Amino acid sequence: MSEHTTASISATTRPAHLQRHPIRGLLWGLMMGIGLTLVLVVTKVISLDLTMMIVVTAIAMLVAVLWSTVGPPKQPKGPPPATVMASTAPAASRFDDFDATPTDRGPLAVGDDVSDAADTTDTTDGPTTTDTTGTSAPTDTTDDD
Amino acid sequence: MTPRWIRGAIGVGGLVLLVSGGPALAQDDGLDQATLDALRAETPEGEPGEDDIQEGDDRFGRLVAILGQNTDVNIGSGSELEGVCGGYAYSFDEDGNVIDSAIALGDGTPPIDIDDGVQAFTSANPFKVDTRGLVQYFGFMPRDDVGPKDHSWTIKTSGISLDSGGDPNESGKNRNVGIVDLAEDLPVKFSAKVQVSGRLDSSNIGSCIGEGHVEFIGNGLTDPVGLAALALLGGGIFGLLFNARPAMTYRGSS
Repeated sequence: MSEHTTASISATTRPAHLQRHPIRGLLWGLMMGIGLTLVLVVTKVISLDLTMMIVVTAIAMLVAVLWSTVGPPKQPKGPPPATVMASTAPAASRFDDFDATPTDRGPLAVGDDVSDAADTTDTTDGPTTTDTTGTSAPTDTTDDD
Repeated sequence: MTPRWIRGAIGVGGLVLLVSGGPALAQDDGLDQATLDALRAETPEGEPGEDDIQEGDDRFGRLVAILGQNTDVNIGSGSELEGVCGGYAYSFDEDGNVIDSAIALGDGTPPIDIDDGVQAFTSANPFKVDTRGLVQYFGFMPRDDVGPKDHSWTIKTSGISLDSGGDPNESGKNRNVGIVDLAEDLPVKFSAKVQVSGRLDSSNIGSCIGEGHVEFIGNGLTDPVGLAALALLGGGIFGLLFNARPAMTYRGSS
């Protein structure tokens, strides 16, 4: 039995992180502040005074920015996205005659010279097997050399 | 057509007239009941209309005569009037009912609320006007002499000019009467308390300076301005709750 190395594959979960929206808070706060100021003016809680109106709007904007930065965060709506498959390159074969160059040769058929079959490799998923009979078989069938 | 300067002088004068305040007749607890009854008897009756100048001057004279019998002076704050200007104003709602009235004697004292005898145009007792009603006024500067010549006037709120003007007034006109139709002049109805100041400067008799509070009576939040305010407030809160709130996310992380 020949010895070969498989690729190292690991799965990791992307972590959730906190995203803040201070600019959005500022703009929505401006809108809320203007509305609040006008409501207070119309209900005569404050007079139609420019200074007072600016102060009320500024306070509303400050509250909005605070809300958008240190407010209670929303939780993610769904589960984490699909796991990330991190893989490492396979270790080099110990066989000197191992040729990892991909070829367009198809599967071997009965009667083929198996010494040529070593050319059939999959470089993306690491060492693979070459099917000579319709069943999986190790590629190290050329070790007669 | 009422000269613009006179409208200004009433704005300043009716403002100044009305908006200012004088110590003269206002007492802490207002005027006595007999005086108040006499003042109220001078209130225009029936459909509000425009006095002519002589009618306005006569009415002003009668009001002064009534007030002159009760001149316990109490200089209040919140409204003031300086200069040789004065007058009166009656405010009517859209149904023609008097909702407020004030008189400024033109002696440097603050305006007086004709209805209850206390100082008028203060923050606690603003001059009420209906945005769907009208104001009938009479104003002078001065009452018994040549009017302001080569004058300029301005009306401001929060330091922002609402209106301004001026006139040579070569004829020396010193008084005017008129009606301010708020229903027509204010296309957008609203409710608010406003502090207004105004002044008129002339080359021959100095200045008339007034300051006071006016309350615009509308339908509150159901007026267009109120509805717009509610829409802005609601939209802002909605955006803050659903678009600006911090969020835990998987995007952008590595």
